[in-house]
Amino acid sequence: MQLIRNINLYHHSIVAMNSQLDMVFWGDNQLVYNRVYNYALETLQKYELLMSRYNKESELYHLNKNGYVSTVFPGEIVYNTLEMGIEYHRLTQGYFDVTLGNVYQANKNGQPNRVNVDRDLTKRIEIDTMNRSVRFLQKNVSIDLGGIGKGIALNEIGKMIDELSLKNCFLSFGGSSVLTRGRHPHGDFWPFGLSGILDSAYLWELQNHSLSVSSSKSSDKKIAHIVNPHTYHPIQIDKSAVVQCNNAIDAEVLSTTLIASPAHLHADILQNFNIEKYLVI
Amino acid sequence: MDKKYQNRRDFIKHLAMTGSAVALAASPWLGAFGSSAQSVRGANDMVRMAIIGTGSRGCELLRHLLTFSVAQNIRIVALCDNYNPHLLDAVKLCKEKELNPQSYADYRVMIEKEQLDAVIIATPLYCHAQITVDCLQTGLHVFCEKSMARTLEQTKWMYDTHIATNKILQIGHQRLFNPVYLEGMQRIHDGKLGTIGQIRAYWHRNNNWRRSLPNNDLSYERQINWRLYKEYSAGLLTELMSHQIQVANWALQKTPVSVMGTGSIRYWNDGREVNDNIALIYSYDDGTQFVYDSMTSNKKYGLEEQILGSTGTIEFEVNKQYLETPAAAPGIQQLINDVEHGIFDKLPIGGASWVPETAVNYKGENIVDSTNYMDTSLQLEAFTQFVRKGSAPEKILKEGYNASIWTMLGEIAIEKGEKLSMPKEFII
Repeated sequence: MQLIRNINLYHHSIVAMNSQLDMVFWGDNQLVYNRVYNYALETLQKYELLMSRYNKESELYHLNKNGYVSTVFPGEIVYNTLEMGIEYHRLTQGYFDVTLGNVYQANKNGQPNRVNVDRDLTKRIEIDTMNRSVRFLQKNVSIDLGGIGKGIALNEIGKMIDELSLKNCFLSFGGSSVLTRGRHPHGDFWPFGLSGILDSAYLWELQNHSLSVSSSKSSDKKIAHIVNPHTYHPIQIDKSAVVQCNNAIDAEVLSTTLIASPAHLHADILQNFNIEKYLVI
Repeated sequence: MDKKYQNRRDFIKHLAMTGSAVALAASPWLGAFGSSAQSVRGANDMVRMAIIGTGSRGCELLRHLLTFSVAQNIRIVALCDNYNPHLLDAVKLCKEKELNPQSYADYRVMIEKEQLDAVIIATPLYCHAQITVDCLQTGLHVFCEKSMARTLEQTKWMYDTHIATNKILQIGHQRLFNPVYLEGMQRIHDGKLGTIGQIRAYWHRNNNWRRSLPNNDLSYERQINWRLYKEYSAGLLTELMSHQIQVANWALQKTPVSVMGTGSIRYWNDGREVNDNIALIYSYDDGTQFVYDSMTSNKKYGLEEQILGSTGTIEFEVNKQYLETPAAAPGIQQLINDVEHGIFDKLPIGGASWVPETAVNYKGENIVDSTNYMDTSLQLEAFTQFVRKGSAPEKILKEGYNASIWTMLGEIAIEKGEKLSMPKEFII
């Protein structure tokens, strides 16, 4: 914990879910900030254990391993998250897809098209909403909740912050998902700039907001890591997308979607969401 | 990493380059290098040394000395061992460097005949005390391998003789000269790890300490395999743990108040007398515990000294420091700096998407950038400098003394099955 005394700035970091969450508060509620930190730590550890694709103890690992050979009854959180992912698939015209984990994995090796799985979601997975069960209809289906997990965690931590009536905070999860409340100690908002772009036109004024940034290429520009779920082709053009709204999950889903989808569909997709501002460059 | 010898000048230069000059300045024995105190000898005067005990460790020390003997103007005047094959090994090493030191089987003859400034003692443990005392009383400076002595009384006898003769006595705890330890200790002493609650250390090997005898001649058994017999050695305690209790004492800047322990011969049940499996707990007056174990039938975990503080951890053997809370991401650090300075500016966060395959997995930070050092060479070079000055910082000997005393007390605690504290007569 870092405590800057003259203006009571509080900072704490947590490494979890393959990323780092930085939490900044300012004010006179150090004990309460510690409470949020502990809650955030528990929350991230919980989600990490539930939603990791690689941890053999995780619920998602169990689902991916057994979903094709038998009907699986996930726990409440994983089931709800999966159902949410399917709904985002609908709202984004199929450009956000949590069921193509094996395609995303194959993309890392440069061969996303090698995965033999149907382009139609309804032919890949069956969800029984009455029994809250899941069954994979094809062998190569694999769930990946990575594109949604940070948003879920941020929303949950945000709820705690609001319940505790904390006014000013800045949470950054891996530098790509941000949740803010209130304002910067020396200004009326939290000023956010896209890394590497100095133009004041790209100043984002965050107060009680969520913001997510996605880029088509990894930071070293070598890996085109976002795949078009309709074609299974990685997006090779250099693109970045920023979405500001009041829901961290929406922001995260949309920043990825705006990269994966063609520009002429953006307006149609965005009308399904309540967003404040977005940018694709 | 390929370990190459790096001399003191390079070492100091490296410390300065890596921002560790503070560690240098604060380390009393290294600070002595730059001291303006009058030396009894010129900075470049020849130092005449002999080695007593030229077994595996003695030859290793000789190899180190030979790497810098020309540059440091050290002359290896004589070699001594009462086991001729070992003596011949050392002679051979010298001949490879076109050196011809005199050979002796009896150190008493050697120190009487040769004009020496200092000796290096690397004999079996039980011989350390008598040879050290004889050499000190002859007016020689002494570097003696660790552990200092076989008994509490011998350890005190060596120390008292050093005081009486005013000659240098340095014990071979090479970590005292290792840049990783120097820098790490500085951070610990500056409070960077918060409150130290525990120090955990272990040394695990999977090998038999028994060495083969020449022509299977059993009459050599106790001479060659002295480490296996209690008359000569305390086994894992003196051969390994003494290094690590020294690190614990150094980190905490104090000595324990009690020790309890247990030990057994669990695997190498071949007639040896010393334990092959030990566990001890040393307690300090502030409540800190040093938890130690060592064994010779499993090597998975190797060796380590872990300093466990309320805000961080240091693992010395792998040159790592871990913060309990990871450092702020770069953009967040800028935010913190801005707020401190009353600046309201854009936070340069973002630009990179979340990439699942580039997992952030906190692996700590290196304590120093490079570990391309041989600490054994550094301690021998320091000893040479001390000899030229005619004195060495007392702290170095006190580290060796207290490590030896508490190692011996650990042995007694295991044998008696009791929790022991230090008898007053051994407090210095």
